[in-house]
Amino acid sequence: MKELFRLTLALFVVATCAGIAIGFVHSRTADKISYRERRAQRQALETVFPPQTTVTSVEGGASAPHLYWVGTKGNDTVGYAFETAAGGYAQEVRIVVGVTPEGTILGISILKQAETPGLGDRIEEIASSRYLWNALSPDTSSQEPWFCRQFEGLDATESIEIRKSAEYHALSRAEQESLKAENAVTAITGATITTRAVVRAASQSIPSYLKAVQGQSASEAHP
Amino acid sequence: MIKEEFRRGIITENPILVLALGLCPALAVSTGVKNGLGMGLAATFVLVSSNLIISIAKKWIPARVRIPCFIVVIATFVTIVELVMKAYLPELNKQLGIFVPLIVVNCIILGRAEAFASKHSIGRSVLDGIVMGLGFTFALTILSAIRELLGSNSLFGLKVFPGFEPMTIFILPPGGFLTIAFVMAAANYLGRKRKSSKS
Repeated sequence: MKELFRLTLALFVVATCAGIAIGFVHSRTADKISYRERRAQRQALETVFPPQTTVTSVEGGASAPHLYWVGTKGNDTVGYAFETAAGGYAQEVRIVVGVTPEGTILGISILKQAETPGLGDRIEEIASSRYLWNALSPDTSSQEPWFCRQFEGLDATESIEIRKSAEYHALSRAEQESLKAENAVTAITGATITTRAVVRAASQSIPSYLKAVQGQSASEAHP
Repeated sequence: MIKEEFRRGIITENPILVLALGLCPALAVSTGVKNGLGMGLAATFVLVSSNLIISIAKKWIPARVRIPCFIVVIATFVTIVELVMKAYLPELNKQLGIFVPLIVVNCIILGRAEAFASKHSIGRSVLDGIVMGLGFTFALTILSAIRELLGSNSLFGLKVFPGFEPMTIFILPPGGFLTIAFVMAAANYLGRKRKSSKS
């Protein structure tokens, strides 16, 4: 009986100390972490809208997503951006999708993912044109992840196909154009589940979001 | 003695190649040199810290509940490292972020806590953490360099040979098993040859 009490007490003390330590560190870092997350979100919005777009955030109503962004240039609405997510291989993949009012994707940006390094996490890979021996020369290739780039110009209101051909960055310009015409993207080798998750996040709820958002702004314009 | 310790961690008792500990994270993250090196260094940091704390606290922990206590210490430490990295080192967090939670289940950490830190002095436990961590990092770097070179024709994300068609299987799990088997066999062969030449 005494032994049982001693063991329980030891575990209790260890767990309490651990809890206090984590609580203390959490209270000291929570503000900083949420600030970093907001900044990442702002950067993501800059990538999904064309340059020089004014972005304003809108609190959605009951039918619209609870927070979304409207991009305007002068008096024209360039498009809307939504934060969406879909279950990937490890955790949910959270992305920002920018679409025109007609439903054409302006761009997507990965906000948060924890996919397998070397396979699924290549949705954020920036294709480099440099070789090991000219690593110090300036990189002329695009700084946007190739996987995200292939969504630009696709129609989010139709279903987006997945092709298991060579990866997008290895294709010729003409092949990239014909993929776009078919409303298709290339899968990442060995990471079909992650590819599917991004495709789902980029298209699944966009039509209903667009409908809700446009309904909301129409009712605001004519009260 | 320190030289001998380093030889033990990196060669004669290399955690992956000889003790076959921590194969799970080794297979999962050795797809690229950046990942392998990152995971190795992050694990080394946690290994040294948990060895330090456990060798200090070993007197007060009853033997029958030592494993749950070790796990709580390791998990606490990993969570703290993760929070601090997220808040103050965002660039490093982007590179290593997803490996850090994996460290909790890395059996090298628990293995060294149980087999070494709970029986030895503070100084020797910290040294053991350093050499074992370096051995882990060394093995991971070799594995990931082979896999990245053959599987995606690149090193540190930079292309290597023009016109070489990479063998994707080396990036996929089967390639991980193949690579680890060949590297282990080579390490064992070299180890045996040294032993027989000594005697």
